[in-house]
Amino acid sequence: MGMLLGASPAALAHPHGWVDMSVEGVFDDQGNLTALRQRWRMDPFYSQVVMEEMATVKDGTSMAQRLDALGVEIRNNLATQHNLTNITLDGQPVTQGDVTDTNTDYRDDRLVYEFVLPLSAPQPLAGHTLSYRIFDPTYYIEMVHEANEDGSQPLPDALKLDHPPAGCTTRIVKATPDPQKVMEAAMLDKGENGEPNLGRFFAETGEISCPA
Amino acid sequence: MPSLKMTLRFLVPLALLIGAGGIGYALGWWQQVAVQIVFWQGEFYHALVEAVSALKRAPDATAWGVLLGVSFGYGVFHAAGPGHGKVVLSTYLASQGGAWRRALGLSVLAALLQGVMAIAIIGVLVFGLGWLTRQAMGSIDQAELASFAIVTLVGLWLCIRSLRRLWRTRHNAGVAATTSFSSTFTPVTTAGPAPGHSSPGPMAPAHRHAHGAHGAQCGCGHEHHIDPQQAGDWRVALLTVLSIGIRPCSGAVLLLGAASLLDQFGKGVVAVLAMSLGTALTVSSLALLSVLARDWVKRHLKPARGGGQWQAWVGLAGGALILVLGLSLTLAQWQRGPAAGPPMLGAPTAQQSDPAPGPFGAGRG
Repeated sequence: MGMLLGASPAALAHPHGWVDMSVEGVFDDQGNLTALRQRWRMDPFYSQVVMEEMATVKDGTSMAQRLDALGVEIRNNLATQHNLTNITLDGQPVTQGDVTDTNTDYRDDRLVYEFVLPLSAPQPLAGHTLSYRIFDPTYYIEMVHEANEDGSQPLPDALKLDHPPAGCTTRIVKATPDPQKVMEAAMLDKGENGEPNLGRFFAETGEISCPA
Repeated sequence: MPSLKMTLRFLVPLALLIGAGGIGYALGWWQQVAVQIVFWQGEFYHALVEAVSALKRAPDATAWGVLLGVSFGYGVFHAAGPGHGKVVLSTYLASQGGAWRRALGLSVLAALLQGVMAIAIIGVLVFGLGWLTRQAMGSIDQAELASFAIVTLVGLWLCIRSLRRLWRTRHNAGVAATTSFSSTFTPVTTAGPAPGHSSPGPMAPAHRHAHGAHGAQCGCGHEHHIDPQQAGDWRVALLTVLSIGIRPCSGAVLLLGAASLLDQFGKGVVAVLAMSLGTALTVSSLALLSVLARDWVKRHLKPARGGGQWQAWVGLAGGALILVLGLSLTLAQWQRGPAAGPPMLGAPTAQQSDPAPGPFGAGRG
C-alpha cells in the first residue's frame, strides 16, 4: 500500500510546455570562458497566455516597456533557481555570477528571453571540458536545444562559441534517463513544492572542450 | 478431480501472472514503459501545439484529422501515467462490486467530465468573468483540492456502508442480510446470465440485475424503483466519478486558453473532447482489468460460507484504502501549497474577484 500511495499522487510529472534554447560560450581575449549567453524561446501556447497578460496592462506603458519589466520579473524568478543552469568543469561544479544583459521580445508568435550568465571567474578551458545542463527541476517546462523539424537532432547553431581559442569543439548530448532512477526519484525525491524532481533526468548536456 | 482442477485453474495462472510480473519488474520493464510514456507525452504536446497552429493556417481535412488524432493520443498517454483517479476507480470497482458495463460507464463519464471541466473553466472564468488564462489555470489547484476531498468522502462513505453491513450481519442472522447484499452489490453469480439477457461476452461477469448496467449509462437511476441501499450505491458511484472528473488536465486548459487567444476556441473544444475520448479509452481499459481481476479472484477464492460477510470485509478494505489515499492527498496538497508552474514566472494566482493585480505583482495589470 505504501508503494501505491507513493506512486499515486501524480508521481510522474510531465512537461506542460517547452523552451527552445540556444547557448553561446563567450570567451575573453585570453581564451578563457567568461559566460554562457542564452536565448530561450517559449513555446507558442505559453507565449500566448503571457502575451494575453501583457496586453491587459492599462498603465500607459508601451509594449516594449512591459516586455522589459517582464524580463526583470523572469530574471528575478530565475535568480532564485540558479537560472535553471548547472555548470561543471571536468565534473566539478562551477559557480555563476549575476545575470546581465537581459532582453525580452515577442517574435514570430514566440516570447523570447535572452540573457548573459557569467561564470563567477573566467575559466581557462585548455585541456578541459565544460559541461552545462539547463532544466526545470520539476519538469513542468521541458528545456531543449533548438532542433530540426522533427526534434530529433539539435541544430548546429544551438550551441555556438564566441571568439574561442583555436580547436575548441562543442557537443550536445541527448538525455538517456535511467528508468530505475527516474522511478525512484518519482517516489522518493520531492522538491520544495512537493513535486518530484524529474527534470534533471531528461536534461540535455552541452559540452565545450578545448585542446590542451 | 477437484484438486487437480483447482491447481490448473487457479494456481497455474496465478503462478504465471506473478512470474511474468516479477520478471518484468526485475528487468525494469515497467520503469522503462513509464519513462517512455513521459517522453511520448512531451512529443504529443509538441504535436498538439503544432496541430492547432497548422489548423489555423489551413483548416482542411488533413489538419483536422491530425488535430483529432494527436488529441486522442495525448489523452491516451496522458491517462497512462499514474494518477489518483485511476487508483480510486480501480479500488472502488475491485472492492465494491459492479459489472463491466458499470466499470465502462463510470470511466467514460469521469473522462468526459474532465474534458467538460476544462471547457467550463475557460468558458466561465475567462469568457464569463474575464480572468486571464494563467489565472484560470491556477484555479486547477482548487479543483484538485476538491477532488482530493471528494476522494476522502467516497472512502469514508464506503467504510461506513461496509461497517453497517457487517454490523447488520452480526445482528440479523444470515438470511436476510445475504438478500440485502445480493441486491446492493451487482452480484457475480455462478448461475450464469439471467434469462432474457444476451450473454455479455466472455470477459464479462454474468449479471442478473439490470439496474447497475442501465444506470452506468444514463447516470440517473432515479426513474427506477430502487431500494435506498442501491440509491446510496449510485450516489457514491457518481461521487467517485466526480472525484476523478472534477480536476481537469492542465494541458487541456492551457490548450483551450491558447486556442481561444488564437481565435480557435471551437477547435480547442473539439481537441479537448477528442482528448477525453483518449483518456476514456485508457481509464476504461484499466477499470475493465480491475473488474476482470476481481471476478477471477472471486471465482476461485469464493469462500464456502459467509460470502456476504466476506464481500463486506473486502468492501471495508477498499473503502479504507480510498479513505487513506484521500486523506494523504488532501494533507499533502495542504502542506504543498500551489502546484508547480513554469519556473520563469512562478505559479499563476487565481483570484476570485479582481484579476487586475496579476501574477506580475501589484501596479502592473
